[in-house]
Amino acid sequence: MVNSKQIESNRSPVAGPVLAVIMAIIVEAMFFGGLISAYVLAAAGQVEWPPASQPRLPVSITFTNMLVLLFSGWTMWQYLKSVKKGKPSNYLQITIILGFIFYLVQGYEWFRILLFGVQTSHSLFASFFYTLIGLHGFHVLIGLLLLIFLWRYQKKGGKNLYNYSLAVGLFWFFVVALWPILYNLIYLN
Amino acid sequence: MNTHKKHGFWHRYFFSLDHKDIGFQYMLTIFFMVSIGGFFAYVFRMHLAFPDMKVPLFGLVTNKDYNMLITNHGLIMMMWLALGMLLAVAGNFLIPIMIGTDDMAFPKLNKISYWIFLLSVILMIASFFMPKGGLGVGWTLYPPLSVGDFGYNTPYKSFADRFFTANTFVLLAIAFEFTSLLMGGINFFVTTLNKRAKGMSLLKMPMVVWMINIANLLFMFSVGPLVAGTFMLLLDINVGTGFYDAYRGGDPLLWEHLFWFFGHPEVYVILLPPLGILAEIISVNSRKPLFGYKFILTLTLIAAVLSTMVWAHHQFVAGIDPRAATVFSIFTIIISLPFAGIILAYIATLWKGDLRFTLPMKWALGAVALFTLLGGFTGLHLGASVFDIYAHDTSFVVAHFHYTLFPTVIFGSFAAIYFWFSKFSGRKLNQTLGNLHFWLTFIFFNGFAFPLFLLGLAGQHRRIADYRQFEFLMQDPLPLYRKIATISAVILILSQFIFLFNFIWSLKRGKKETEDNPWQANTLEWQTSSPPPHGNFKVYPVVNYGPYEYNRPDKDKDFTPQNEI
Ligand code: HEM
Ligand SMILES: [Cu+2]
Repeated sequence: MVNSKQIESNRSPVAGPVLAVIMAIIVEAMFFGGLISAYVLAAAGQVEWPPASQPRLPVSITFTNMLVLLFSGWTMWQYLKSVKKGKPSNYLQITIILGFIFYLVQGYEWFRILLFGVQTSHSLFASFFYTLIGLHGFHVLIGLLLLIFLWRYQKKGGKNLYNYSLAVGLFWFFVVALWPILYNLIYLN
Repeated sequence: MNTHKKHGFWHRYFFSLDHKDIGFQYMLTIFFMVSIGGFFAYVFRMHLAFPDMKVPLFGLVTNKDYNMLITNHGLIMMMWLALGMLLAVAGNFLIPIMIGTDDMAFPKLNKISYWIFLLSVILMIASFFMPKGGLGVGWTLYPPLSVGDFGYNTPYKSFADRFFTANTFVLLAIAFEFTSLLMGGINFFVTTLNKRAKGMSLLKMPMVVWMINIANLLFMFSVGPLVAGTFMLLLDINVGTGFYDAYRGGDPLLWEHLFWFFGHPEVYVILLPPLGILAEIISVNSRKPLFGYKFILTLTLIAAVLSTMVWAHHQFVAGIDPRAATVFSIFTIIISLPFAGIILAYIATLWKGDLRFTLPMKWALGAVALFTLLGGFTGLHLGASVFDIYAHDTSFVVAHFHYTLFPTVIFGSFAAIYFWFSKFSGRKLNQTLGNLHFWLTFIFFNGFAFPLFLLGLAGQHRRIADYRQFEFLMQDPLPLYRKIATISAVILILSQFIFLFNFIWSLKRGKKETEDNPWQANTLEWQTSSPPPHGNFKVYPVVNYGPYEYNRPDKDKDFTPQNEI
């Protein structure tokens, strides 16, 4: 073996993990894009939307909850800035807590509505409601797991902290940004 | 010689992180899937030509069997063979070594991608054995048929009754396979952007690396909505939502949109990697630079964008607004222009070249000829909604897509295998058997697919198991055409055993490949040993030349390896 180290001069300015997450977000965006356009088209074809028989959705609690989630986006951003300076701050833990609050409140609402007797099979509206909100919830959960993974990585003193936190952060921003769109379409229609 | 120590069976076939091993794992798995898909084709083709016959190795084909056979044939060939071979196998074998690096950006992710792929294969096979039998709704899985009697109207079914059905298992298999391909695709993309050898600018990358990546991007862009659609279909079947149920305000056509928004780009996802493979082979074997590298790239990008805007040409008959049909017709016809341009560039590469009719070159030329003359050309006709409304759901369409898929997927893969086999295995394939395989495949593929055009124009339906009540289909010469197609198909399938034997035998006993660069090619994989060591290169290459600099006036030999100083 003469020289087994690769000379890596040809790197794009974006690090591998970040690039990978950007690609994943594009796929995710198209995935939700498909669902959302299906929803919009379905709603456009109905005389009354949501159908009169459906219980009203809890608009104001959800709105407050949305503010919590948006705020967690801001704290994540603060965290990223601190990592860039080389002094990771506690904003990460705050983000995780805010994320959990959102997740629990939203999950509680989701089940409560289920208990009111709105079942998936009752109407198209209910089908969409559970699917879209449920899928978003699933993504929040993944985001939270990633944030916790990041926290552990930071505690272990991992060397690649900036790239990993940027990658996780981008995913979190995606999850946060998706919510107002869903809220607007489903709760406020 | 192999410098790394020999690993055991489990390591090589299951736990390896080496991109070449993982490529090989994918390849073997796909060979397995194709043999099932091919066997199904043999059975239903026999049934079409000789109804009521007890098909050897199968028995009498009932209508239900027939539906199950064509559905799974289509699914296996499109989803596992075509996508798997051209994205996962080609990407794994070729990308790292051709850009001069040791492995993928995320080797572990690569291994997990393969495991998920394997899981999808297992789910797919399991679907054949569900209590109610395999799936028989056509590979396009249109609801309400694909929701079957699991929908809202039969609420007494238990969850297990709904879950343990071919419908659920096939949808899960597809979802897992796409997950695997997406993970692979992200890996390929990051590898290509971040791990190129020193000196390899984007425009010095071999065309096949570009093509696989563009195909991957197109796949990633178009697959999301289909995954969403698949998810909704799963919910309709298993928890009783009503997305596709017109009775509750849902819309079965929604599926067709989501499916074909992916389905049409998919055919370009399938087409681009073979086009890249052909570019390599044609340029090496004409000893000339690839004509119009940037021109080909630009056209490919244009075609990729356009391909997301033509999907509704699959729905001309399903009842779309005639004004929309016109727009989609026009786009469909426009999209053939970039591909015509690319094919012309290949012909210009051949022009006045110092042609070498090696085996890979034969496959490549065969692919170009069949794809252009019969596949693309007939697609143009189908793109015009006036003609399509007549030809849709006849075997004209079946002939069309076999003339597009077979040359690209099958001929393209064989071209690649005959071209790169000795590089990756260190042994040569037998040439006599190779030639026999090529000619038999070429002749009998035409023998199988061409009669389908004539049958289709005469009105033979697609997806109809028993057509005998239609008297016009029983008149001469149509039965003869059906028999020619079937007998050719049988010979075509049998000829593949020649390849299988050659492949396995050469892997163990074939003549040793003594040269690193038997084709005198420029790209980097030929500048390392055959087979390449673990990590691909002993000394990592530094790139100074483009991939296609054949016959440079300032050099005495007719090729210039990319890493020459
Ligand atoms: C071994 C050679 C093959 C034979 C004899 C064969 C035969 C056929 C026939 C006769 C049909 C029409 C069934 C019907 O609609 O009634 C069919 C459908 C189809 N084939 Fe093949 N085929 C072969 C290879 C392939 C390959 C290599 C691919 C893809 C890469 C492929 C993809 C498809 C697809 C997508 C369908 C449509 C299935 C459907 O309409 O549900 N086939 N094949
Ligand atoms: Cu199409």
